[in-house]
Amino acid sequence: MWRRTLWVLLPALMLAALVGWWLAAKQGLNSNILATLPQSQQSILLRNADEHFSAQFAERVLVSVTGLQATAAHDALKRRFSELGWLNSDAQGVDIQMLLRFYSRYRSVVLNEELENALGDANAVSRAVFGKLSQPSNPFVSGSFEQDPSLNTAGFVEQRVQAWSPFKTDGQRLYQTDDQDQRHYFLVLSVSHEQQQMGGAKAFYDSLQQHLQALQKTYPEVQYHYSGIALHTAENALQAEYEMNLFGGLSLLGVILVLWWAFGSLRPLMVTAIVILYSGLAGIVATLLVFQQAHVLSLVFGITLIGIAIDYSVHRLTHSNAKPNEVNAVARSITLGFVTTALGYSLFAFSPIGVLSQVAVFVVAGLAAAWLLALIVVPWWLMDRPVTVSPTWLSGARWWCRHLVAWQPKMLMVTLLLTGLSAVWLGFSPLNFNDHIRLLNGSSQQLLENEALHHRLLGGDKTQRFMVQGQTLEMLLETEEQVADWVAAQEDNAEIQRISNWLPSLVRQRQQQQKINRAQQDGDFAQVEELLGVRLDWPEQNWLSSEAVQSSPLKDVLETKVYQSPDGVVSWISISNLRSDQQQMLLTQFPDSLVLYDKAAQLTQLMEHFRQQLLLTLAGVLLAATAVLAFSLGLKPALKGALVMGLSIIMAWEGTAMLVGSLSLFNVLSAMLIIALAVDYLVFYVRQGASEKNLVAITLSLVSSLLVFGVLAFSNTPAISAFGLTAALGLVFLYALSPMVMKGRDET
Amino acid sequence: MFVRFLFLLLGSLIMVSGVYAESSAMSSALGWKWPALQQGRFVQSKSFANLPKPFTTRGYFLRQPGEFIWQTQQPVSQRMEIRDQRLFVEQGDGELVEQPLGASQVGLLEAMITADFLQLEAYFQLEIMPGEKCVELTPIDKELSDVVQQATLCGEHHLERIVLEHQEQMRTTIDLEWTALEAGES
Repeated sequence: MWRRTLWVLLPALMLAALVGWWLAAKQGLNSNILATLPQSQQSILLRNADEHFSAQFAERVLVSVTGLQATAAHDALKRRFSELGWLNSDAQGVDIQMLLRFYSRYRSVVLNEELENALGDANAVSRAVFGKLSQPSNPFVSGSFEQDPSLNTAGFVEQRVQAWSPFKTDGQRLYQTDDQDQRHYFLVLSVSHEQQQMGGAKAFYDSLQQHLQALQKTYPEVQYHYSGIALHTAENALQAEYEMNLFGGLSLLGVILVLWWAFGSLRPLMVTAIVILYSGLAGIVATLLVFQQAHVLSLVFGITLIGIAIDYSVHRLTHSNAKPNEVNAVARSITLGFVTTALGYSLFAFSPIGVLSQVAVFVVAGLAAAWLLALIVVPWWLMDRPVTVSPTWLSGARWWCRHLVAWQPKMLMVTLLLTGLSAVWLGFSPLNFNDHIRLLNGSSQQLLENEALHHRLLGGDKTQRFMVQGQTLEMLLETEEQVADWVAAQEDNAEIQRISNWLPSLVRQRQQQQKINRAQQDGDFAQVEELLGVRLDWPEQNWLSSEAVQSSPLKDVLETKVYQSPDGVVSWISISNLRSDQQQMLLTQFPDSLVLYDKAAQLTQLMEHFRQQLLLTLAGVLLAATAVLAFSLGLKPALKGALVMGLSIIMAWEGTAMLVGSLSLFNVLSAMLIIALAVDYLVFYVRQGASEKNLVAITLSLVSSLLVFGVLAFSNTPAISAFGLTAALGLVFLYALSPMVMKGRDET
Repeated sequence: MFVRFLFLLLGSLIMVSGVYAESSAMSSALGWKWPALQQGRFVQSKSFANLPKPFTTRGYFLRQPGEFIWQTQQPVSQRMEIRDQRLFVEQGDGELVEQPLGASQVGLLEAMITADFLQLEAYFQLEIMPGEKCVELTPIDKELSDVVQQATLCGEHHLERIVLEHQEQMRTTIDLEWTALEAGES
């Protein structure tokens, strides 16, 4: 027995090591969710730009302090974070003195809006210049007057610096005020690449909280808030770790107890675990062989494999000491179940979403492995010492058999009644789907509230980001300017942040030069020159190029805002105070060069797309399974089976919606698990009828699946919880309804 | 760096409450008293190395609870207001627009005018000039001196003149006349 166990176990371990090496060394696991989008929806250039920009947001963590003694607390915290090297140097702003010197060289080709609007009217020009010069202490004026007495440079840099930062400053501190006019002082932190990963993020979060708790002891009146992607990573990692330990431990303990109770031995547990392990490995290997890279989503969707592998194992285990004809009958039922389920999952290969094709390969290969193990390896493994079902379970099954046989004639009526009630309920309360990406987020309420507060304080609720693309930087700058002109014409209050504010296109620079030349010829600056006693000097054709910006204090700004590659150039712009209908009009106006840049919305859209595709595939799987069952078992049991499957799923969804409020992609995924197990339950009820061992196997399959999947209903992550809840409800309904397909007394 | 340090100075000064620090030793030594009227006229003169003559502006100022107004009347009309520590500057169309970065600039002026030496001591070495009713403010921080090398506040019975010395021979001189404003000036 032990020798055979080693023969089974060793290849599994070796294969697991090989797969692990493959995934690590050849980067065989792809976790980029946007990569699953069809190419037409997300071009490679935009996707790469998205990654470039997202990386910047991922490294930022915001901490804000408010309340009594907030400034002192802020300063103390700033000193501490500075010592730790956590402060983001970019957030302190670019060196404005250097900026003024840099832009004063290009004063003929970059105009500030106030002066530009005044050109053509000498009085307005005087007012613009003297108004600025009259201000008692304007650092932009004193910093550039020597080089540019027209103060065009001072106005240009001042306008852009003021519009650039989402923060206000009191000199030493960045802050924003809330609705109650209370100041929240901000510190912008940078987290390293390691600190963005799960382990590093947890350590960083822990350290951050310790510092903030220490701060609270010194300044008890202050309130602090923190937000950032790394903190979500940390909280989710901690949550996942906790849940994996808790739920994993509970599931394992439950399955051990149940199998031990049912068989009086732990060998069935080992058999089941090995079948699951081989199935998973076969799925991954097949996916890697076909696609060279497995997407993490295909593994998530492939979770249903666990339920089926458990099912095949327990059917084989309950019949391990049965007569040869019984064993053959069970083997044929498992084979039919395998063919039906595999055919259903094969439909995933026809989905336009690449990751669902991977799911098809993953699950079908995994099923094949589970089927082969159940039919060949498990009997060989247990040949010497077959396991036997405990008398308690057998007597329980006998009692259940008697009742099933008695109830069976009435079950069709009950099922039809339930179908009617369910349909009426659907009429009153239609199923509502919500696929928001936050379902994947198991972060604490506190962190979500902090995030919302910072978003609101920094004007995020009024701002929308877009990506602009062009073949060259010059084309991109021109497009940005066209977008800005369109926005300005639509909405007076709209504000737009764009790189072309700092680096105007050459076309725009030529226009500005012409305006300045004309104004100079027309004497627009005569009053200014007379009163100041200086002659204004406007350089000719000194164009501001991207190369010049690359070697200026704006180098980092350019790199932050613009992604350049041989395929093209992409920048991101943000527009505030534009209504959603105006945003839509804007996108329609620039269909080839402008896309909405909203990661959450993009991922939500993707989830919705997945869900719709999965619903269609689910319908296809249901039809295919019914067709195969009709071919192999007959039309009547197949139709009854389709009714059972459909009703179990619908009632599970209705129950989930009633408890949670809405459904998502993950509830549809649960339905796939329900169908996969339903096929087995139906095949075994039709083929084996109300036999004791059959009932023991189906009950064990249900209990194990509930312990593995149902326990997930208690997860803090909405997506996992939704999956677990629907799976649990659906499996219980399935267990209750599926005996309906058994042949009646008159049919047998 | 220039602006950062200026903000460092100005930002601190804007926090000045506006309470005239009669209790401070410096005010007592100078014999300054808080004028009955918290309003008056100013003449501001800016000297730049590249200007043959200073650029002079005239107007009035007014302090009210929670508000400070600095109205330039000549050579152009321009109004600046600080309300609740926020700066609003009049634009070409007459509209007052908030300047998020500029509050500390005008805050400097308000702080100087209130002559709150208790606050100023945190950033400057204060020294009464021998034989004159003036106090010289020298930045303690070297980096601060890159922004304002020296400030001088002078007056017989109360503050009458502020002189700010900047780098590169730049100088701002503000003469204050504490007097009642005419009707309509507020």
